[in-house]
Amino acid sequence: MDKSEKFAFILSGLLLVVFFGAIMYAAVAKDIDVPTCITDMDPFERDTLFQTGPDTYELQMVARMWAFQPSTVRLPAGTTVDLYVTSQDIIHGFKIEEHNVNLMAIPGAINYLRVKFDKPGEYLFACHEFCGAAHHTMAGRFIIEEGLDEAETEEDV
Amino acid sequence: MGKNESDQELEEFKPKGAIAFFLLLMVFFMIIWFAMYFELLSRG
Repeated sequence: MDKSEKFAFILSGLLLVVFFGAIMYAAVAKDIDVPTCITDMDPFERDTLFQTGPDTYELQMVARMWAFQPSTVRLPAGTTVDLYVTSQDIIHGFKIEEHNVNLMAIPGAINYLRVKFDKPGEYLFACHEFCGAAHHTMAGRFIIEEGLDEAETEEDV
Repeated sequence: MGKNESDQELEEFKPKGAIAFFLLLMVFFMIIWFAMYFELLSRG
């Protein structure tokens, strides 16, 4: 093999090793997951939020034309949320600003991702899959507050 | 140019331009990849 070709092969290989190592670091040390389709859970039609540990909650989110249930979620800062998303009607999207959350809400299927809210503030979530005339209004927000005793949800009907 | 001189030039040929372009491509690729990667890490 030509010396230059050998150099190109070795450099490309090293780069792939660096990229793979960086991905493993994010997955293992930083606990950043990819979305998972949950198959061993019955589809739910109503939204639910309940506490599963000292700083952990489970949120079952329902998307429909053209709103999320719940539309507002108040949580204490430092909370980890196991987020389950489904849809009542057609395919919607679900994305939270400033967080690694980008899910599809699919009727009959449940998608899951764990998200941690460290910093207090308001974080918008919105549908990012075009779903009809009022798609642009389909949004809600997480309100993260320091020292909040109990998580709660609100709904716009 | 004699035949021997031409062969010698071919043997000594080093694709400097191609190597430089390849290195630039790799650096450019790394900048884009790591920009997205650190954005991912910053979002926790």
